[in-house]
Amino acid sequence: MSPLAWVIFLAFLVWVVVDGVRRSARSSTLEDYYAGGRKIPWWAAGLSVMATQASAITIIGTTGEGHEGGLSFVQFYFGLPFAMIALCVWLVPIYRRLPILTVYEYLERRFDSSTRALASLVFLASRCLALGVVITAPSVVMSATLGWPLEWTIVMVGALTTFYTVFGGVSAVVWTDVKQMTVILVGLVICFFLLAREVLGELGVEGALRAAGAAGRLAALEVVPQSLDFVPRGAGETTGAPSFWEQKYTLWTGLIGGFFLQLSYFGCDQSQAQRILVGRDANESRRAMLISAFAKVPMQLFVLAIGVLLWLFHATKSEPLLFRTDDRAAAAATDPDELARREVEFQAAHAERRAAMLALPTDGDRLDPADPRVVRYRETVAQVAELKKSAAIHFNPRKSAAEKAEGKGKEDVNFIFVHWILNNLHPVLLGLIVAAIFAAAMSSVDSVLNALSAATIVDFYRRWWRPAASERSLVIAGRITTMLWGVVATITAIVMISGSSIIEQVNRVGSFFYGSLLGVFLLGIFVPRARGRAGFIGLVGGMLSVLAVHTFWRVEFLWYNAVGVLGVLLFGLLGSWLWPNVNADTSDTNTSLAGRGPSV
Amino acid sequence: MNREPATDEPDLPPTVYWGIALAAIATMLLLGWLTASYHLPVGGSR
Repeated sequence: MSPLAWVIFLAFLVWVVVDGVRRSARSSTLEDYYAGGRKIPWWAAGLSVMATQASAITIIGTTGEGHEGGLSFVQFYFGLPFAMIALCVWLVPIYRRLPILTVYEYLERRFDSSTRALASLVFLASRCLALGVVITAPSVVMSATLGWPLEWTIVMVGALTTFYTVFGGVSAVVWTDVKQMTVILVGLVICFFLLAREVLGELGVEGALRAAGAAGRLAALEVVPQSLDFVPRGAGETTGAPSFWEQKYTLWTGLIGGFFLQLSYFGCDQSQAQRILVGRDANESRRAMLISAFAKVPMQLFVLAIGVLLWLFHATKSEPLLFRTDDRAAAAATDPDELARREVEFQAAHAERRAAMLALPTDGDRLDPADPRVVRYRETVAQVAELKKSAAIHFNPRKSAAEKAEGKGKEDVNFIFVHWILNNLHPVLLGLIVAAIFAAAMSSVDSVLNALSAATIVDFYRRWWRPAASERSLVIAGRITTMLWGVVATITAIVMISGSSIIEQVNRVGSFFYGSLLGVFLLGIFVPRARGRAGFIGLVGGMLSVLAVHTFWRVEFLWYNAVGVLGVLLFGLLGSWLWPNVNADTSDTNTSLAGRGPSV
Repeated sequence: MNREPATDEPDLPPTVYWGIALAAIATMLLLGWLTASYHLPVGGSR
């Protein structure tokens, strides 16, 4: 990066940290530190929710996903607007009727202390690991591309974010998130227009749509699944066609699996649900959450569209054989002849694809797949993709000779967007976009740190060890805990450098718990007879159900969320029959939707 | 058992929720049109 880009980038970091720290004076009680004194305006809380969900991987990974796979990933978010409506109708009124600081407090009022402790523990364990991923993934990309030492990049993200979150609590989280979200949106809009200007200037709108569509980049909606076989294959079964449950992105996985995932994420994960608790009243909380309901799908579509434009940009201008500059440098040092041979072959194929793209028919309503010009174009698209894939595997120093011989894998999509910004943007814009990538990482990390601290202090420290502690000492303990979680997350992130397979595993482990967490909240809301121990039994049963499905069948992980919910409801009902009215007197009267009526 | 709520907070008007649901469905239809009009499945392009 040039000195000017560095100045812009560092100025942004200083601005965010200083603003976060100066909010420390306003956090003298736990309610200030973890709920912003219940005075945060809905629009700020709503932007903070979006900033938390938009991690750095959303910018660099989702654009890469759009580049390679087109728009189909947007289906993952189709359940979100409906989940937000359910959240506002079911969960918000209950949370706001109770003076709670973590959503897990609800579970003790509704069931018992063991249900609350287990749910909070599940949150702490899964979120801490996931936090490592949020820090590691962008750091790997930025350090590989910019040449920064990886450990230092991780420490910079972890330390800076921890620093201002320790001092300012949730107020610092929300108000820095507002700034970070603004920078993210401005950065994305600039990238979109720069790419659109280049691509549409050459192809026009219709030409761009045809070129992208014929290359398989405009499959935004898959209504009819590739398989309608509803019998899942066994876990070790490799023969036969994949069943309905193994497809990752279709309308149905997005609408049903995504609905449960998003409802659990926004309603039962403290790092997001905390924003329900920071507004003045229930309607302020609803408005905050509904910003995402309106904006998330269009925003995700926008980010994927940037990826598609980027693919068209590369197809019409120039494209490197390898987006990973570190892999290319290693290949140039160890195997220069093979690299040169493949690059010559690739550039020839690239030129053919460009010529075929410009020769696509412009008349008629839509492209005819049997038209020779369309057939030729699609052949060149496949040829270029094959050459890139082959080179990415061949020159990947992280793969063994046996893995290379297998020919499985592809280039890491996270490097595509970063390669473009480094090679095509003015230094001022480059500084801004790099700042946006770090903003996205920090805005996701800060919320989780504050939420981890809230769960530790409110659900464990105050609940079990120091119930009579003063507010002042609790806030001090909260700050120390935030710092400790920051250190743990940074160390976890450094440990995770060793392999990307760990990252995927962590994401899968997270999906083991999300459905069950949601299930126990729904059990509390909709099943009045389930009380006391039934919550704990349901929660354990839900997690075991997911484990059983994972062990015995091949099912895409989005479905685990629905399995967890059903498992909890089933085992919770069973528990309520086996142990009726156990601890029923501990349950609060404001903990179910039935409580809104005159009497039950 | 008496379950009178501690506070009686008003909900948002139902039109807000209907508006969001309809906007979400409209977005899906738009994407469906885009897919149907321009997308041609390509094997091995990824």
